[in-house]
Amino acid sequence: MLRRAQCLLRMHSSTGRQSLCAAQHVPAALHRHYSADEANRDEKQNPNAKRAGTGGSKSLPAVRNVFATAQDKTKDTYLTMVEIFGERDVHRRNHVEFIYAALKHMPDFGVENDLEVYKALINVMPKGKFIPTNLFQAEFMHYPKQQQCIIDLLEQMEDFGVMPDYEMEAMLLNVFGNKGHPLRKYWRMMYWMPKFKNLSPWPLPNPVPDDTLEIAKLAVERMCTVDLRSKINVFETKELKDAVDETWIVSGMSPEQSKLLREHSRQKALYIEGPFHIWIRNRRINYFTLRADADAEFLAQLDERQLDEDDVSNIEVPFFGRPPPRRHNQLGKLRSVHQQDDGTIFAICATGTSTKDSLLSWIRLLEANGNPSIGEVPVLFRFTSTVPAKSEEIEGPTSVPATSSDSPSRSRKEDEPSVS
Amino acid sequence: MIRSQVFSGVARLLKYSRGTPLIRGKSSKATTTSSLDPQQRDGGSEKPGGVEEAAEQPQQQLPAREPLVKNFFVGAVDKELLAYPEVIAREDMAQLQNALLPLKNYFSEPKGTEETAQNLKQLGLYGLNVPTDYDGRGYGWSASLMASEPDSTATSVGLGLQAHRVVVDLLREVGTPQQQQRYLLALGTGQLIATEAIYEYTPPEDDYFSTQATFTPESRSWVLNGEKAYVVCAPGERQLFLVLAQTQQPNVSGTLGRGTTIFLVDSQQAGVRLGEQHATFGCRETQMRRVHFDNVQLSEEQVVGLPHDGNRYSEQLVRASRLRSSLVGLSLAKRLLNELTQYSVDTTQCGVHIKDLELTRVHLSRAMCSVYAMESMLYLTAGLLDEFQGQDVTLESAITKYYTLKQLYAIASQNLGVVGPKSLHSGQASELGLRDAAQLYTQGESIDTLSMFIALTGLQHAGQAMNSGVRKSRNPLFHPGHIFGKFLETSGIENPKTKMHLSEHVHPTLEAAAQCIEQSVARLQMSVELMFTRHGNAVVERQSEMQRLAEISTTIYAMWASVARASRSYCIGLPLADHELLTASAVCSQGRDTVLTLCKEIFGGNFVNNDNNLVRLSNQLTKSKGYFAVHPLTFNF
Repeated sequence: MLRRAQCLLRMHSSTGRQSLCAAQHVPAALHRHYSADEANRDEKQNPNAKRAGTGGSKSLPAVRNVFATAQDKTKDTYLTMVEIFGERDVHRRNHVEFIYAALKHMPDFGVENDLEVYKALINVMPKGKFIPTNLFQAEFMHYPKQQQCIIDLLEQMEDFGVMPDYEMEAMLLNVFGNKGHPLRKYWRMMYWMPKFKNLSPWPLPNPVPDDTLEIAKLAVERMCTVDLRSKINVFETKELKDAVDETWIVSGMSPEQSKLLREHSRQKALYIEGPFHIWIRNRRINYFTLRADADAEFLAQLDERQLDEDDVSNIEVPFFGRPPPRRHNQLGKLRSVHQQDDGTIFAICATGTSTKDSLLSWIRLLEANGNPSIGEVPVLFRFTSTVPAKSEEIEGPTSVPATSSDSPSRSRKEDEPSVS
Repeated sequence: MIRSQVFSGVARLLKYSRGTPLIRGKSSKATTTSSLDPQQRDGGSEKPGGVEEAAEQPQQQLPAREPLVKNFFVGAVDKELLAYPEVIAREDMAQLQNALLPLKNYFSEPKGTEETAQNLKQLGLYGLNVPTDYDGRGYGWSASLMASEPDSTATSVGLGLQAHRVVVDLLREVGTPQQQQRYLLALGTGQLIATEAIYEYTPPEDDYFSTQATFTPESRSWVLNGEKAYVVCAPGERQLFLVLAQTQQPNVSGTLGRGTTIFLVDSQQAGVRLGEQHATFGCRETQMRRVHFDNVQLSEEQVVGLPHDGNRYSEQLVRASRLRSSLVGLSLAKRLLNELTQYSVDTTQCGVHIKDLELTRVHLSRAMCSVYAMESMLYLTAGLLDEFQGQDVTLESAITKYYTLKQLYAIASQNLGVVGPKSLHSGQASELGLRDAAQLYTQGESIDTLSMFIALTGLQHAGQAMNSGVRKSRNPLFHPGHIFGKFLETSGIENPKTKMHLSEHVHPTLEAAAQCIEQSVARLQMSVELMFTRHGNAVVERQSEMQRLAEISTTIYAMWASVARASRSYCIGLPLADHELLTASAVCSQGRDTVLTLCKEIFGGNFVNNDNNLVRLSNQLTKSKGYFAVHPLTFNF
């Protein structure tokens, strides 16, 4: 009973704290990459957030925030600072505040995914002192502030997807004993996190490479998994004589799509649409599609409602080692995955600059690489796609480029430094 | 007169005559659908154009009966066909035996490879099934199969000869008199050696063949372009290729006008070129090559049958080739069995004769049963073709090939287990046997396609007969009476109620065996009905269930043929007939269990019989492009 009440209390307090944490971590993660001026704003908010996070006490001991003032923001400096704190005096006064400060500045140092750093922070805690000696201490959260601090540390690890190891268990055991709440948190994490770790159907290498070209390849590869026969090509615009931009183009297309393109009516235009976004871990890649309006006639032909499934009186038998007919295949035609209701998609690409010129190069490279029919079809640029508008609705206006503009390439260049 | 010749022994014993007009099976489901069957229409129409079945004395054929195995799918049996056909008259049989003596002698003695072709010509092996009008022997199906038994013991030689005979069969059936005039004489003497050129190394993605032929109306000629593979060639001889090519009907555009046309192409025509030789796994003495056709000019007389309508004649083509290739498989299986028996008699290990080990005995007997069933099926099918005019044996011939090749391969690979590592020693008889078995297994159509063909053909036939019932079962609320009727049925998959009385048509010893057949047929019919009810016409997509259907119908036909043959043998007292009875009983007991298991799997549905799991697994497999599990010792943290 008592334990349950305790838990409830803790849960409430920690959810409140968690939301605060989330509010301050997530933008931090984004800002680091995409906007320099917002990071400054974040800095200004920091003191308030910190105060709220540590329990709202107004008379905090004055601790110099070494992390904010550090010049050289690397892992080494970070670890050195933690080490200096540990060696400064034997009492390690204000270590809870120190840990909170250290946690908050992890992304600045680029160590938020580093297990070693978290271990170093836990190591700041004194060993043995916080281990409860009787049942009541254990149930009433012996040294709650310290325990909560380490729980928050574990929470941050969880948010960043850093999986603890057995050494960390031993450390927590030494600090809080086997009845400590951090250890319980640790055990829960060790139940779930391994299960979630490999659940993604499109696993990314860890760490994700830092090169944009590599990330673009990963992105296009992942989008092309709808068709197993897709091939990813990396073109260089240098290959063309009069390309203005000299950049790379990652293009994904399958033989099926080539076939659809070959059979596409020469009278109907193709559209290059985009940019759309795909997130590869915390990096955003812009990509474009080459598509045409859906072939309504063909799709209507495939309408399943016209089929009488109950009629078994004319089953076809094939000869000569051909696969048996499918029920929907009476005319020898099948709807491919690329023929969606709202359009047929022929290819996708991501380019180094995302400019109109690079996309033009893409079309010409496709034409030169096995799709001669593109040359005979009008290709239009359509940067007024409905999808960015939708994502603007969802994500808010901050990071999404203008949906339509007179000179889309230039405007995109300005507000999307992420791609290049 | 002919009737009395045709029927001896069993037929007389069983006191019925096949001369009476067709008696229908008891099942009411067998509606008259066979008249729609294109194959049968051909059977009727081919006669005026072709020559009569030219045996030594022209035999009169009986009117066609309902197809045997197709009717198994609707639960109907033609009991009269339990009398094993005796199509070669007594006097003819004696003559045939005499004619076969030199062939048997020739193939039983070891010989060098040189001058084989010349010897084959002298022995008249190319003319076995060429009509007597064209100086051939004029044997019918059964007789020509019997006559080609000696040569098929040499698998590599047999393969080439059978390909030749298949083309002759087709010419005899659908060739025009002009074509027969032009080719059959040369084919009969072996001056011209025919072979099929059907399959291609890389078939196109969305068509039958990439070999194309176009018609030029001005010169009334065809131009052939393309490349065929796996063509059995006779080196240094003038050859006649039977080529299937994709053609487009002149006044119909698009896929509707797409068709195949069968051409006869002489190897000496301009533009025909023999390509590289395939390095085959088995049958190494046979030359299999690619053949290239570059702008080969063909006249209209070189088209077999009607242009663009090759699929219709393919039925006759594949029927002949399936039957004849089964014979090669059968001979090889017999040889393997004999060799293994000899080995187990001769070998003693640790003082124990291998032949006394139960494991070996069971294995040998299994092989015996398989070979017995193959042989019975082959000659039953050929007998049906000979005895009845235009009899539909599409399914029977496909099943014969399917069963023969599967069992042959099983026997060949089982031998490895008995003999051990020695069996794969290069040059060993069992090694060559395994190689040849594997080669035959892949020759022509793949075995999976064949099984799909069997199931689809059966379902096509059953679908026509069952259509109205299936529609009712699939819409139960519109047809409550029908459904209540179904509920009241007491017959189940475990204990099907049958009223076929098959045992009245076989020797009493085989009563239990006949019971097995009855129950299996009833189970097959129930499974087919269930599949239709469950899936409607989407049944064609349930390939793993169709595979089971193919297996079931194959097993039933094997049981049927074995029982028919054993019954005849015992009734007329052939040597070792009592052991034939035992063999047939063994085939049937084994077959009943196989059928029961498979039918239960179909009844269980894809969630019970594991199909669902397998299909789901395959999704990830294709996504990962292969084996997807990580190493068993991988750490996650």
